[in-house]
Amino acid sequence: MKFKVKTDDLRNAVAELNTIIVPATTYRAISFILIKASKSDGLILQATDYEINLKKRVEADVVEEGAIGIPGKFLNAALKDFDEEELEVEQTGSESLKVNAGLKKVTFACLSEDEYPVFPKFEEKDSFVISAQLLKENIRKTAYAVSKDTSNMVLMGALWEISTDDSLFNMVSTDTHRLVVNKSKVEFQKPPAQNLKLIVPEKLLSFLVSSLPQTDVPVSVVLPEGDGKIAFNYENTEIVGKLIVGTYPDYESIIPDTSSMKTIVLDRIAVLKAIRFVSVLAEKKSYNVNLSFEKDVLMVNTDLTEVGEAQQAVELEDNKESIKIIFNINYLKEVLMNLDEEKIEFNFIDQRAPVLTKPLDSNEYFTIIMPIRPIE
Amino acid sequence: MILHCDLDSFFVSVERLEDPCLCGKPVAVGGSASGRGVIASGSYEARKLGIHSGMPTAKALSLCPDLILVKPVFGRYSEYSKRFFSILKDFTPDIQVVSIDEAYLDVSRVQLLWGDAHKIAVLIRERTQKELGIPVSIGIGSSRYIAKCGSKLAKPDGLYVVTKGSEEEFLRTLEVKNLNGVGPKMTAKLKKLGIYTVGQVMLYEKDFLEQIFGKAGLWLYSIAAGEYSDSISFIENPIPRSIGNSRTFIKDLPYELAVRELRTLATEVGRRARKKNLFGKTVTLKVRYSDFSTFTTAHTLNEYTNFTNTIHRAAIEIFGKYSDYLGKFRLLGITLSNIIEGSEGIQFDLWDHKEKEKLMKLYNAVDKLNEKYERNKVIF
Repeated sequence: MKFKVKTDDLRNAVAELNTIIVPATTYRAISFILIKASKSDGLILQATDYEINLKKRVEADVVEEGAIGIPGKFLNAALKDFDEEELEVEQTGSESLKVNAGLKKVTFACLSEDEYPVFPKFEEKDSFVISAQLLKENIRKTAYAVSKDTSNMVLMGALWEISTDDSLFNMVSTDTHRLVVNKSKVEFQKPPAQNLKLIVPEKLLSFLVSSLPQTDVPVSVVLPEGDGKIAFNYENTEIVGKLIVGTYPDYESIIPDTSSMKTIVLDRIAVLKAIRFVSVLAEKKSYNVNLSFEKDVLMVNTDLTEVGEAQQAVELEDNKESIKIIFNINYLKEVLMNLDEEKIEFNFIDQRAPVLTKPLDSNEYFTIIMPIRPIE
Repeated sequence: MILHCDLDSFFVSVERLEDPCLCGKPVAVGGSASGRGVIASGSYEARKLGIHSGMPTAKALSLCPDLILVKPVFGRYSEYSKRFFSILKDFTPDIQVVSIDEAYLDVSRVQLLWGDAHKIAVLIRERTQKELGIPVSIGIGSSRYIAKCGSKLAKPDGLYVVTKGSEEEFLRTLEVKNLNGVGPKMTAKLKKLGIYTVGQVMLYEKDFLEQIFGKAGLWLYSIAAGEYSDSISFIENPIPRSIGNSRTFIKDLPYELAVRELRTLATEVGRRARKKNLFGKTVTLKVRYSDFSTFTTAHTLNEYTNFTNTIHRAAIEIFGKYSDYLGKFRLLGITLSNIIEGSEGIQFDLWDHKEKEKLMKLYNAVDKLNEKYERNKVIF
């Protein structure tokens, strides 16, 4: 194998592949990145952690075809230091590869292609095409509430529901203490053939959020025959991941009817800042924050502990409601951080019932949080 | 200064108030000998005959056939105990209750009000004798450890003062058997080494003591060197680290019968947790076979609870792995740990919070009924 490649092209691709590979553990192969060089396709780079399989295509001037696995961590580190525009890469033995440019030369101990896991191949069952930016944004807004509790696997992913009739693409996530729902009407560049219900694991969600481009590039989402897999194709990238198989809990049943709730309008940033301020005395990772609404003032405070207490007042406009309600501070903080709008609605019934927050006058995106139940 | 106040042979003293015929005779409160009862408390007459708490009743009766055995009535003791602590609380709010019949008092803040520590101790002894009719022994010292050693020397019905500055002298001449934390076995071993007093401990190297006694050796050395720690602060009701209940069966039980006992154990653990408004996340099951081999398994739930049902379910699940065991079980115990206070609030979940609210009401009612009538009469 022998080729010339632009340093930037290879560096960017390797950096992304490197986020997936895992340091050599019991199975050494997955700490390598597989490079295949062919005269027709240029370079194909692959990485896998058995949950996510990633393939990137990079243009290159291939002189001699071949394939070999390179230790990902070291390749990534070495590429950072090449400031030459072009690299010359050459296989120097059955398990070694030389990269050189200018005065630098590095030779890696490699892995033969046969030892590398095969990239999954499949027959397409259904597929749809959607803008990368839209997909990225919707995932970002919902992924944060996915559960980390391994005792309930289905909640460790977000539910994606597509209804073809009304072009609705719902994304839902919950850890049972809060529920995030994003119901958006989507213009599919190509809609799926039938309604879909998928549970996409958290790891794949966060990989997509960091990798999908912030542009309107079409992403083709492919569902293979047989359950359990999902593939994303865009530009020079192919991702194949596992889905979580199972039944997602009925989330519609716990959504309260906002018409029977009381509403307070909040300045999101002001409340977020107050929460950040009162958390200065927090010793524990997770602790309570008290919100006391009284006429024109919202008092945000933490309980008195051995190290002290903190509070901040936030002004409210035209508020008539008064209530004191307690939350796990992280839950509330994350909800506020993931909303984009300035003004948000805080809908509540009493201090024991779930609270629904959403952007003012919008029903597309909302979060339901279970408050902390005081016990006297 | 710290006072350690300890009621003398508490259970026996209470029984003697109920039945004065028991006075002056070897009496012990404990479970029956035909079952697997043990002695909970013995009178001084009984102690002279070698009877001590924790001893199987059958053994106690064989040692002393004239021993008068009284079945314990626990409700009675907690009544007296409450009255005892309320007397102590009249003197200072800085009180740390250690068990049903003993407490530490930090009297530093109230000496202007009552007089010095000795005066306070005298007043407490007078009032306890007069109002309860039970003798209380008190040790006074500059730390809790010293005070506790003092009360041990004061018994029965006495007062022992270790003045400030004389702690070193006190410990040096103190017999090791009177040191809190040293039992008869250790005393005997120390005797073989020629150690009778705490001061003599220093004759040996630290490493040597560790070799012989393990960690206890290091502890003993540090006490002798005057490095006893007294770091726990005076908090009125510190949060317990766990709530547990275990039971040795009258007869060893096969799995199918033993599993039924879990309900009673869980009921008691749940009741106690709810009474103190505490919630726990880890349920531990202790299992002892007929041959005394003992196993414990812990299971951490994904939520904090004090519901009997949840605790029971977790215990049953753990016990399930013993279902193939063909032998019999001697003891089962359930412990709830990983404790938080309910006053900090509990995070319910979106799907079952309504259910939990109902259960809370239900347990509230069950607890009230049980308190009014008889403990654990209503089981849920």
